[in-house]
Amino acid sequence: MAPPSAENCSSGIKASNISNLGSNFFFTELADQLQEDVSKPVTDVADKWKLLPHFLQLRGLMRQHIDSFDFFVNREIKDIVNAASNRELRSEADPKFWLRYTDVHVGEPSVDDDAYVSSRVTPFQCRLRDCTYSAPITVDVRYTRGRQIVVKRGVMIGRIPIMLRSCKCILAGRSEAELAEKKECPYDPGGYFIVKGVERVILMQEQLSKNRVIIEEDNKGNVSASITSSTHDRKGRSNIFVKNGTKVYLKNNLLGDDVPIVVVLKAMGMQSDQEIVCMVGDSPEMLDAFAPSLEEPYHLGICTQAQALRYIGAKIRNTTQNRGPGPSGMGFAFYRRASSPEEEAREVLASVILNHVPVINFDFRTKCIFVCHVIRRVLLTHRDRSQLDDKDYYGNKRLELAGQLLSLLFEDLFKRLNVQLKKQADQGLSKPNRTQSFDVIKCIRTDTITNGFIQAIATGNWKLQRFRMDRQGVTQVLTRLSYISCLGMMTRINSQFEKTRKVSGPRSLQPSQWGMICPADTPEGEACGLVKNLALLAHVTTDEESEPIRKLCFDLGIEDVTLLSGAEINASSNYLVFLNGLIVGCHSRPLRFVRLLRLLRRKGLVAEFVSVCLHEVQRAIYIATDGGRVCRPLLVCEKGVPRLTNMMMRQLSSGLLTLAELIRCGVVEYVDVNEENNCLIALAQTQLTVKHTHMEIDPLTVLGVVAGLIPYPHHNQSPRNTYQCAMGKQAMGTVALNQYERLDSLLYAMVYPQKPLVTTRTLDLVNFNELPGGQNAIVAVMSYSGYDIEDAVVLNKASLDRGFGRCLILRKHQTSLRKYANGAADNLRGPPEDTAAACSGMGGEPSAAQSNSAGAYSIRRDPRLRRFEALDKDGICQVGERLENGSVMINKESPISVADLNMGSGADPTPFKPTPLSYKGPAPSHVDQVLITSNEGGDLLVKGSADATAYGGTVTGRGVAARRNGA
Amino acid sequence: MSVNEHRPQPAEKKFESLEYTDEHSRTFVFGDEDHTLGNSLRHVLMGRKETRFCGYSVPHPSEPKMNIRLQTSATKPALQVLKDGLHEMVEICDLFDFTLDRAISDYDEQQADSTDERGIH
Amino acid sequence: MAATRIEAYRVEADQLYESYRSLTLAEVKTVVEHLREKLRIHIVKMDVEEMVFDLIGADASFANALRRILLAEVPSMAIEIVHVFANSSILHDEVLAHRLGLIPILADPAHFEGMLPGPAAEANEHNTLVFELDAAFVLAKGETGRQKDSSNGINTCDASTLKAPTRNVYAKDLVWRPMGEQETRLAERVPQVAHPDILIAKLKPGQRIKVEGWCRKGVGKDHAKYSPVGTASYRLLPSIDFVEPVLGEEADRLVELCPMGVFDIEDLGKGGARGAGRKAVVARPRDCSMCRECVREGPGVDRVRLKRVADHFIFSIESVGTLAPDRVLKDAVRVLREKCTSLLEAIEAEGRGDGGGGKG
Repeated sequence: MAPPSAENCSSGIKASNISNLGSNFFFTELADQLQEDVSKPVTDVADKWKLLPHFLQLRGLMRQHIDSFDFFVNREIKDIVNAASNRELRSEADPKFWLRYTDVHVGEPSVDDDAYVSSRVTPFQCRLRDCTYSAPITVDVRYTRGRQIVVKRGVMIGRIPIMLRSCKCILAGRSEAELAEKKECPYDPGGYFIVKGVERVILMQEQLSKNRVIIEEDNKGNVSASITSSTHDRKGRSNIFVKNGTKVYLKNNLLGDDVPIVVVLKAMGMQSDQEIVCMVGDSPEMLDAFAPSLEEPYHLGICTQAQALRYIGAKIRNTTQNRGPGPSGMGFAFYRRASSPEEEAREVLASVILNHVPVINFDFRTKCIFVCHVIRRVLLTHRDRSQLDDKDYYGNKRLELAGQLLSLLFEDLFKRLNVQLKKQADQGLSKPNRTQSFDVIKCIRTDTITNGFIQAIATGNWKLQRFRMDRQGVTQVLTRLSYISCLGMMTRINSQFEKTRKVSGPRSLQPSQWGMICPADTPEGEACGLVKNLALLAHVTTDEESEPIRKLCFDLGIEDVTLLSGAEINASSNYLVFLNGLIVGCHSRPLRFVRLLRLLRRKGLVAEFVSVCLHEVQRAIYIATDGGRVCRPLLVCEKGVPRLTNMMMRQLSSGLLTLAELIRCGVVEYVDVNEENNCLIALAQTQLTVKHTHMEIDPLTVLGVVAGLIPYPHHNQSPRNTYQCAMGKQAMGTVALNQYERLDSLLYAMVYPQKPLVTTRTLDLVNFNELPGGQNAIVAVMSYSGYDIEDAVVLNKASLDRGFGRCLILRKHQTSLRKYANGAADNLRGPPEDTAAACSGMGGEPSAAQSNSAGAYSIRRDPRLRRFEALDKDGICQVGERLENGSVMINKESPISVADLNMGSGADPTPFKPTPLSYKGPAPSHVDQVLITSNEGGDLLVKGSADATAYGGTVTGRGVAARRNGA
Repeated sequence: MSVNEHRPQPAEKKFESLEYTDEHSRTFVFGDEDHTLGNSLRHVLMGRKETRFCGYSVPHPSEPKMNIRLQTSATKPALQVLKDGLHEMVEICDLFDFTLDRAISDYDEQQADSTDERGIH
Repeated sequence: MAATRIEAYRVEADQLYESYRSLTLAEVKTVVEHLREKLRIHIVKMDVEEMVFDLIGADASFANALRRILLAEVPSMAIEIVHVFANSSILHDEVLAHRLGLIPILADPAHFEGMLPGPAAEANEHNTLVFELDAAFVLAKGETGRQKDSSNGINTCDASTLKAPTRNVYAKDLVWRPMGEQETRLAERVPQVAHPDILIAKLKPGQRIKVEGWCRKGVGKDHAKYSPVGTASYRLLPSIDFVEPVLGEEADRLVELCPMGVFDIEDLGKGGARGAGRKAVVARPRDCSMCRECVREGPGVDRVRLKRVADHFIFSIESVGTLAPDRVLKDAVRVLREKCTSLLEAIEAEGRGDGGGGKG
């Protein structure tokens, strides 16, 4: 046993160093000012809700998507390309050949006009032209060509769709005037993609955390620890569970049978029972519980590591899939081919089972300790079921954002590209006599990555070969019913649970969701509680480098766990320290450790989103730096006084101070769900006591964007708020400032939208006043008979005449003129002769009132031609023309044969058949605008939108009632 | 014209007397009339000594029709009472017009000292 | 026998109206006979836009008939058909036409004929007024449009530097174009818009609106734009009296309670009852809004009686500016009269058409 006093001593010295460092920091200029303010008695921070606009300014309204995309494009993509398994490409045909990626970049958004020219593009052009808003991915490479080593920069390997308003988007950081120039709405939140002209959002996906131990009861009532291990290379799930209430086993898909856990330990080199018992725990109760498992290997005749390995090796499922048919070192091989069952078992234990615990050079020590810890927890829980983990607890959940999903996809596509390249290299190099030396770069097919991305985002089917992942509905079309529907979509969280399961757990509102997830905004019916929405200030973290934190932990006095014996690890005075689910070490003064780490974070020396959480029952400290955790800002309080002062508020509003600075000096901090367990959070200043560690910024932040629009929600029955959240998105109003230019397939736009008279604070924060949805109606409630149908209103006709509830309905109709493989192409044809003559007769300025419609009557003479009335000479309808049911809008004709090659090239004219685009609708309407453009394939694209005015009456009783509830 | 703009069609018949055996109890159907005439005419008819019963209704707001039910004593047929009532309405309008003119001139006199620059009437 | 039954019914039907009690109990009078005695009109306030008058002695059905006609059946002129030659503004043609229609047109409807509905109706100088609107925002070379341009009164650019300059199109930009003999016929009152400063649209540089609006005669029943009044309404005169006097400090309380200031204090001198010397009196019953503050609590609970005078209507007419309110009122009476005369004609026609089918 190591002397505990020495350990304490050393950590004490280190810790005091840190605290000195901290206090030095405290006396910098900024802190001086802090002290000055703190010295004055702070009675109340007036209007602390005024922090909200600063938060939204700092983070942006829908920042989480953009942050994760930025992280992917700037960091993760480089990590993927530089990963050991992806970095280098070799060929079996020629050992001298290699290709090495040195760097990767994402360029500026552009569109390929044809095979040779690509031009810069704005998102708005993409929407109109049915293009994909994407940027090229280029790599820097070194490779061999013949005997030369070639260095090339900027080799394009594919295109990646660019998220709007992300750092790679041309809209990032533009002013309102600049955005207006690009025809973009300044209030548009961004965070979505434009794929083939369609706006699509990658929804946030809620999942159970990876690499964490979750102890639950399986369907047989056994206590089972399930660990989903996930690394870049492999994803797997292992269970360590008590079978039949006595023995502990390990279950993994790769193993045909459950394996006794002690056999696993022995196979990993922990041969001594004494050592195992020490690691698991040597208290009498623990021994009793563990004894049956400990005897198990002897019944099986396993004493040594070799025996254990042989036993496990025999159990490994012999599927080709596991072996990985792929070429060694590349592609989809999960582990190296092994010669003997023992070798294979060792390989499996090292890199497949619990693969998130690193095993370097087959040193299984950390993995053994980890497994023992899990056994210990399973046995403890087996005795005391109150220690079971709650799967629905939000601290056990991670949100997968666009960036993470794209990075998974990119890695898959990149590997596929490399496999293709390798195949071509093998072919090219194996040719015995070549006229010119083989150049891999010319073999790069950019389609693999480009189409892979477009397919995935356009369909929402996330298919990854490596992880056998096949998810549907990951992306959705951004609904542009109203501005709020668009915002609401960006905060939506999709759960991975199947919707048919009739379990209430995942659907119900968890107390741990407070402040993170909107309690009101969820759909009704099958997706109830599974689809959620983020609260106003909730923030989703991105992956953080964990290595510096690990080093810092050692600086703060952690003892390396690999150097300790089981007795020391399990000593009642010691707390285990976990970093992202891995055991790092032990600390005997956990409170001090936690306090110091938090102090460092508040001083800005540790990243702001690192969470530190002390678990007293498990006697463990959990540090998390991984991405996907939901967290929220809180005001830090000390001795019953918030560190935020009125002075700071004033400086904030005058622009002398920014919120980022407040976070950096620890006035405001982000706290995640796990760390919230160590906090005592006051709702209001009046409740503050000395014990409180934090204070809420404002109660309204528990609600999301959509629920925040409800006035006085706390006076409503709770389902009313939920109903309003669903209906508020359907409100008709203004979609965006560029709504009339957008040419959406269907647009309902109110002619005279109004700012609401009864407002909420959220309303101002989300710019609802600039893009209102609806009108204020004065409703008289009286009891009488005749028209008193429930949930209905009688509208005043004069109000309707004067424009109440008036709206425009614009519908897009489009067609493309295709070019066919045989050289034939679609054609536009003017209206039939008779009409054309009448049209030209109409030309010129209609003069006096009396002589107006002489021309118009002449057209109507031939009833067969009436449907061509709206057409101009070029065969496209004219703006302002009236369309009736059956009217031709675009008089297109197509070649009858598109297969016959002789048709196009021959001298005789290709026969055409008419394929006009005609207007269908019960009510006549008018052509509003016509757009002729070309799409990415170079095909001519004709879009037109027709509009029709409708009177109000779409204001349903339900809609009115919902808003009335609060007002 | 907008998609769902609704233009009410004028009634087919301006006046119709529903045929019943008794000429002293009738229901008259007025096309293109509503509460405006209905209620005031009813009121006037109520004031006539031959009237036993008078009531009016608008069966449905989207139909341009108004009904008056009139039952009279044996001295006069209902149709005659209705005509008398309408003549009385005309008289009332004339009386109102006369009274209004006098009121306006009274008001103008009263305002004589102040500058009066009212436009047309 | 029969007579008494009728009278009994009449009392029941109209018993709300106190004015009729005498009528039904004494000799039987027709409504017009009654009105000859009782009808009084007193104008409280009258100018080009608004008129308030007391209508005393009439029945609510008349007041209501007048009100309904004022709103819906007095004819006036408004733009009905808009020919759009150019419209590059942000407004859609439909919206622009709708806005133009709502602009009050100062033209006497008496000078025009009504128009038959449907496309067959031919527009002519007797039923149509034509207004032209041609507005464009053209920036000369080098002009930014940011500076305020006051040289021609129309051009008002947004002074703020961030927003793009705009030119406002107002109702005054609508110019009447006389058709046929109209110029001489309407010389004494040239048709024009009633309010020149109604904003129709805002133009960005390069945008243009060129339209022609055809005015027709119509009534508010068809569309609210033809309604000559913003609103026409009546209320009954409140009648407030005391069951027993409210004196002294209680009187002050009562005066304070009323938010409309209906009550005043009358000084009774030292010899007043109980030596209070002060008494609450009803000074401005017209101002009462029937809010019932005075009888809700305090001294007035059982001493003040709030009622209304059943045949005293305070009538108010707000004109939109096309016709003076008294003219609208006179028109309304004429419309009511015409309704009756045309019905009489219709009855005659029906009788003739039936061939004396009235016998049964």
